[in-house]
Amino acid sequence: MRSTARTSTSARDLSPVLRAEADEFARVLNHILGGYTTRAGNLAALAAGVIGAAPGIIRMPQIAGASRTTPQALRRLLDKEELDEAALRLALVATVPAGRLEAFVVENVWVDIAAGERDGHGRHIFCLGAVSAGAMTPIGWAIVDSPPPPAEADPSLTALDARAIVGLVSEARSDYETREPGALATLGARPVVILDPWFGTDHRLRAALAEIVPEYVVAIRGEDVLRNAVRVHPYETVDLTRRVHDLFDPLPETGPAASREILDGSPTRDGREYVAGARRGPEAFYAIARPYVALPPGALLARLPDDRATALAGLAASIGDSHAARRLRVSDFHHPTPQGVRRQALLASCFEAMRAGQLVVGAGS
Amino acid sequence: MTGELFLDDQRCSGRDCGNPGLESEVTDGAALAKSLESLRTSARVDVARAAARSLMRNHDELMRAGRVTDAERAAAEAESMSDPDRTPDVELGLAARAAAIGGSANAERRYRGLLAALGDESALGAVAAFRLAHILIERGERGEAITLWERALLGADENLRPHVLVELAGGLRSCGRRDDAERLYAQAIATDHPDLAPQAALTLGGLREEAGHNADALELYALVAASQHPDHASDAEVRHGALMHRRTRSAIQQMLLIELKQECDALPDDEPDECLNEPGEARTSSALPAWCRQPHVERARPHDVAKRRRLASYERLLTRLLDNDGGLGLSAMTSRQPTQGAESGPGAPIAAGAHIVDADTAHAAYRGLDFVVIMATCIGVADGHWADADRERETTFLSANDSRSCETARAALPNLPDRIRGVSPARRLFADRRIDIDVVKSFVVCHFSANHQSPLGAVVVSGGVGLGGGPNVLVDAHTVAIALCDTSATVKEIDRKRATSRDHLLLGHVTHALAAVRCKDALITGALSAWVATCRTLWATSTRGPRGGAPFAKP
Repeated sequence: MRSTARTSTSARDLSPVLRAEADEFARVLNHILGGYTTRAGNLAALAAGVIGAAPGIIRMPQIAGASRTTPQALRRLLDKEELDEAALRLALVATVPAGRLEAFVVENVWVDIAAGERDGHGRHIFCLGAVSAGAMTPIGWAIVDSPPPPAEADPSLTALDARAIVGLVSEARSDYETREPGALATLGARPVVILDPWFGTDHRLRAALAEIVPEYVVAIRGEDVLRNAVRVHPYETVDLTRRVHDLFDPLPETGPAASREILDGSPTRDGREYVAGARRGPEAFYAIARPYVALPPGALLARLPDDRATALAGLAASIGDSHAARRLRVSDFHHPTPQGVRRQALLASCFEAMRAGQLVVGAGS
Repeated sequence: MTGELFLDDQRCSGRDCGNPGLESEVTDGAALAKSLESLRTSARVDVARAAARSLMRNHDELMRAGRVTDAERAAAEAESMSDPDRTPDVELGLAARAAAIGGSANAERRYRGLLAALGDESALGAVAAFRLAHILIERGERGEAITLWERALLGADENLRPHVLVELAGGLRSCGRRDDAERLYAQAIATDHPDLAPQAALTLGGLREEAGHNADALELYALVAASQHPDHASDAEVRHGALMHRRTRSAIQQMLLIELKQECDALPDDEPDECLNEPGEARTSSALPAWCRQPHVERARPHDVAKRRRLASYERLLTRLLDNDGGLGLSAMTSRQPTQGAESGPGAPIAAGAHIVDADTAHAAYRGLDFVVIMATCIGVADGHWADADRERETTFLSANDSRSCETARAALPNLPDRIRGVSPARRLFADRRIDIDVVKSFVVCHFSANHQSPLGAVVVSGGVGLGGGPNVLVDAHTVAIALCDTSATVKEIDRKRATSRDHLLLGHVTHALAAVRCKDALITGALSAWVATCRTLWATSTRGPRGGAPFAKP
C-alpha cells in the first residue's frame, strides 16, 4: 500500500558523510556548550538534519528521524530547555576576528507561513553577517513574526523589524567586546549595512541605528521619493517629486558617484545622512548612508563625509546577498516559535562554519 | 526650497485650508454650488500646476537626451501654463533656461516677477534674487547685485545661504568693504559647506594675511589644509608654506640683526667716520626692530655712526645670504673672520661662497661675527641633556623661547628655570616679543661662539619633556631644539685651518646638530646640502634602533 506520508516529512537517516560531520559537530558543540553528550549529539543532528533535508518545507519528524530521537525531544531542546545562545554567537564571532571585520551586514527574508499553521501570517528572518574579504559569515539571527504578540506596544512590522535589527547589532558588538575587548574601539567601529531596500526611506530604523553605531548604510530603491531636502546647487532644477535616481542622473557607469547630503537643519554637519549611489554590476544601487569622520572640534568637514558616504555605498554595493537564510534552510524550517527557529539558525551557522574549517573543537571556550 | 514648495502646494490647492465654512453651508444649494465651483477651480489649478511641472521635467529630460527642438516645445508649453504665484519652481526653471540661451532680459523679467510674487523672505524668492544678481553682475551693475544678494540672504535656506554669503562677501570686498566681507566669509566658514567653507576660509586667510594678521592667516590656511578639500587644500598648504617662509625670513633677519648689533656694541670706537652721511643709513635704521632703534637720536655721535654703518653692512650681508637661498632654504651662515693668522686670510663665508660672490670678505663687516647656523622645520627628540644647560652659553634661542612663552602662555614663565631665563645680555636682547612665535618654535639655532671653551655638547629641548622629567610648559606643539658645537671642533680650531678644513669642521658642527635634534628636514645652502643629505640618511638608519639614545655620531 502506498504511504500517505508527505515526501518532505518522511524521516530518513543522514548520509554517511553528513553523519560523520554531525558527529564532529557534536564534539564541537560539546566544547562550546558543555552539558550532556547526548544533548550535543541531538543538537548536532538537528543542524545536520536540516541542512541535509530534502528541498521544501522542513518539519520536525524528518529531523527527528535523522537524529534518531523523537520530535518531542527536539522541540523541547529548541523551545524549553536552556541553550547558551551567547556561546554559539561567540563561537561564530571568533571565526571573523575584529581585525578582519569590514562591516556588519543585515540580510532579511520574508517567509509566508502556510495557512492554518500561523493563521496565514508571515515571518521576517534577519541574519546579521560579518563581512570579511567579500565573504559573509552569519553571526546572529533574529526572527520577527507577524502579527506580533498582543503585548507589543508598537505592533507595526517596521517598528518590530527595526528593534530586531538594532538588537542584533548591539548583540554582535557586545559579542565582539566579550571576545576581543577594546578591539572595535581601537580599530574603529564597523559600518552596519542593511542590504535589502525593504525599509525604503523610512526614518525609524536609521534613527534607531544612529543611537548605537556611528556609521550605517541602508539600501533604498531608485524609485523611492525623497521628501527630505538635499544639498543642491542654486542653479539646479527645483523639483518636487525627487526620486532617488533623479539625484544621480546619470549614475556613472564606473567610479564613484558623488553623494548628496540630506539637510536636516541642524547647526552641525556631524552625524548627517547622505544619499549615495554606486554600481552593483550593471545595476544601480542606492542607499542612505551615515558616515563618520573623526575630526577635532572646529575643523572643516569639507567633502570628507561626502566621500566617506560614497565609500560606504561602494562597500555596500560590493556585498552581495549571501542568501544565508535560504542556504542554511532557516526559511524552510517552519517551526512554530521564533526562539526555536533562531536556535536552529545559530546551530546551522555553527555547523556551516565547522564544515568550512573555521570552527574546530575548542572554539568558543 | 522643496519644503516650501510642498507647503505652497497644499496652500494653493485648497486641500488643507479649503473653504472653512463649507460644512455649515452644505444645506444651502447655492453655497454648495459655489463650493463645488471652488473645488473645480482648485482642481483645474492643480492640474495646470502638475502639467506645467511635468512639462518642465520633460524639458529637462529632452535636453539631457539632446533633443533640443522637443525640449524647446515642452518649455514653451510649460511657459503657457506657468506663473510666478502658482508654479515658482517652473518659473525658476524657465528663467534659468532663458539665461542659458542668452535671453537675459527674459530671465531677468521672470526673476523679478518671482521676487515680486514671493517676497524677500521666501526661499524660492531668495534663489531668484541670487540668480538675478549674477545677471546684473554680468552687466556690470555691481551695486544692485549686492543689494539683491543682501535680499537673498534674508530668505536663504541652509542650502542657499553659503552661496549667498560667499558671493556677497566677494562683492563687498571688490567694493572696498573689507570688514563686512571678512565677517561674511567667517559666516560662510561657519556653515561648513563642503566646498564653499574651505573656499571662504582660504579667501579670508588671504585677507588676513594682507592685513598683516599672519597668525590668523596661518590658522585659516591650516584649517583648509586639514579639510583635505580636493581643490583648496593644496592651495592652502602652498600659501601656508609661503607665509611661513616669509615669516621665517623676517625672523632670521631680526635674530641675526640683533646678534650683529650686539657685536657692534662690543667693538671699540675706532672706526673712521666715513659713512656718516650714507644715504641708506636712515633706511637701515628704520628696518630694524623698533626696540632696537635708538629713540630721539637727533645727532649721532661718531662711534654710534660707526656702529650703525657696520650694522648696515651686516644687514646687507644678511640680505644677500637670505636672498641667495633659492627661496626655499631657511639657512643662513655667517662667519667670523679672524684678525690674526695671516695665512688663513679672510676667506669666504663658510659654505656660502657660491652665493655671496660679490661679498667683500675683507670688509670690516665680517669681523667679530661668530658662526651662526639657523635651520628650520626641525623636530627634536628629548635626550635629557638639560644637565649641560647650566653652562653659560651664548644662544639666541632661549630668549626667543622666552618670548614665545610670554605670548602663548604667560603662566608658564615662572616655570622657566633661572638659568634658562634671560640673564645674559644676549638673551635679554633677544626677548623680542614680536618675533614670530610659530616660526621660532620650529627653529634650531646653532651658535658657534669663539668665546666658548671646548668641549660643548649638543642640547635638545623636548617638546614633551621638560626639566626634571616633568612636562615642558614652554613648547606645546613641535619640539624645539638647540644645538651647540660639538666636542671635537671649536671656532678657534677652525680659524687655524685652511678654508676647506674650516668648511669641513663647520659641516661637522652642522651635521652633528642635525643629528642631535633629529632634524628631519633642513635646507642648507651650498656644499652643506650633501652633508645634510648624508646626515639624514644616517640618522634614518640610526633611528631604527632604540630612540632616545645618544645623539648621532658625526659622520
